[in-house]
Amino acid sequence: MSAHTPSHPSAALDAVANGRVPDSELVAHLESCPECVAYLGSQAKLDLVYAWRGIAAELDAPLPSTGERLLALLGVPQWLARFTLQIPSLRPTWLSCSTVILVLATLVTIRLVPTRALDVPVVLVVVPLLAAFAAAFASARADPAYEIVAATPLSPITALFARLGAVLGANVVLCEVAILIAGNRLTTGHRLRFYSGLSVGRGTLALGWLLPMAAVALVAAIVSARWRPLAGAAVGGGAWLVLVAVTAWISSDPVSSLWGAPAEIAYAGAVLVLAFLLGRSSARGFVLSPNVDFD
Amino acid sequence: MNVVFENLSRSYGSVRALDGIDITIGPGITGLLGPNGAGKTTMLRILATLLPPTSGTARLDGWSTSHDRERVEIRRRLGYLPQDLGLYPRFTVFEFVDYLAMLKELHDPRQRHRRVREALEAVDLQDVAGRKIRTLSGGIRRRVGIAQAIVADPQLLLLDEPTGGLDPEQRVRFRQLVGRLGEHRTVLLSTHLVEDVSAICTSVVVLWHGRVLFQGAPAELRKRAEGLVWSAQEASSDAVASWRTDNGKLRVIGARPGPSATPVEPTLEDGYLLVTSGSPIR
Repeated sequence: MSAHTPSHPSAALDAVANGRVPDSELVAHLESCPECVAYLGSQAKLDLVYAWRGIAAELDAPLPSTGERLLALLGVPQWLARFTLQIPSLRPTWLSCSTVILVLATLVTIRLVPTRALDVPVVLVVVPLLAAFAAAFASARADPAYEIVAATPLSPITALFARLGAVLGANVVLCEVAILIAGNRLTTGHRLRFYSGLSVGRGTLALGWLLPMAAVALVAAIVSARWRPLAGAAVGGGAWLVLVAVTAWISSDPVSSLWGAPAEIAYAGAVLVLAFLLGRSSARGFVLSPNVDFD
Repeated sequence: MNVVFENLSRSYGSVRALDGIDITIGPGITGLLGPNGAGKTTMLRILATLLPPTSGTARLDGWSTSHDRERVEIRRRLGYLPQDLGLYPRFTVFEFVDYLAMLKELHDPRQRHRRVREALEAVDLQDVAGRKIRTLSGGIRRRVGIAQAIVADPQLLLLDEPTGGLDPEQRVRFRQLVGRLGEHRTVLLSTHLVEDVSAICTSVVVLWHGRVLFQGAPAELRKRAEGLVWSAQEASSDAVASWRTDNGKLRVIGARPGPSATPVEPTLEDGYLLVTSGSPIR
């Protein structure tokens, strides 16, 4: 644009001539500057194939899903949101099943705990089991496109903890609602007062169920990262059920033994160790299992 | 992009899938040829940074697959089509390739969408861009896999059994596509189909029980069988291989089966069979 004077937006006009969409300022300038319009007309290389490709691409491009929009509101970038949502345990059907199980567990708890037919509230036993399954099916191996995704530059640590965090977050919301309902309906008896105290806003152990849930979920995640999601869910959930059964058998107050302060400290330690182990084993990348078929 | 394997081995328990591989692969299309269990997929998975070697190293332009940071650099330059292609059935074709483009760090939406469109055009899938993957045939799904592999314009393209499940017409189109892709990048193509290698590869590596039996140009492999391929009425007992052809005669690879046998022009398949037979003839 050597013939143009410096008052004309030479660089912007050249960019438009090369395919860039003009901004509003440049459009306004062009409306009042015939010289620039003439210059643009002489420079623009109209490539219909290139132009159409851009239009067709925008027409085919998917709109963000509801989940992606929700995560975007929380500041999660679109690529991470879409990646996070590609796991079985965040699908609406999975979350609906979890809700049904929690409703049933809550109803059983409300019916049976006042009669002292059970030593431990069913809903508190079910919560870590749901988390074990959800975490296992949030692992990389539960992703159908596992092998392709693993070969992308996505940080394995980011990938792992984004998905694990999302499923645990969803489970925390569902479980807290269930426990609040169950806890508020149970107001009599020492054991039940303690149990009510586990729900939000009821004292220092407001989220006492969260740590055992996190520990069990991490066990499931570690196992499923190495073997298969179902194996992870079985080991994590099985370990929790064994712990509950043994405690109920040997302790005179299993609720305090399982969710009291000493137990919570032990769970917190376990969570730290397990999170470290999971992060370390994942840092290498989505390395395939040694048992994978070979050719 | 140069790929260098240095004394690379990989074991699964007591099974040695790769055994002391020492080769260098340069730009162009290289075919990894070998029967099932030869170690082709293991080799590609190590290059795709999905499996660590048991010993030795694999390097791409100096970056080692064994170092964390270097592995990310390799992945930035990599396009990978695995043998078992997992897709999201409820995604549209465009959505799936777009998703992988996002994970390959193409974050600007307009630029990314344009690249997705170009990748779909390259595999002739632009007309099904809006269709759900669950409605597609196996051959079209394979092309979706190729589109995601090339969307970020990789310098190294790893294709594991890419023609599996394709009909003859699709296979011809695929060869044309890979031929174009290989003009400006390094392509490693794993296959057990000699005709794939014969049609498009500029070099070939023959793997057998985890070892490299041959590396060179397809013409060199073909040359190995020169003077050792015959058309005869009967095969000799020490023939490397023999089979009846459509002219009713036997094609025999090995020493001359008899005085009436006439020499015939060897093919790549003859060379491959000779090399993998372990025959002392060559």
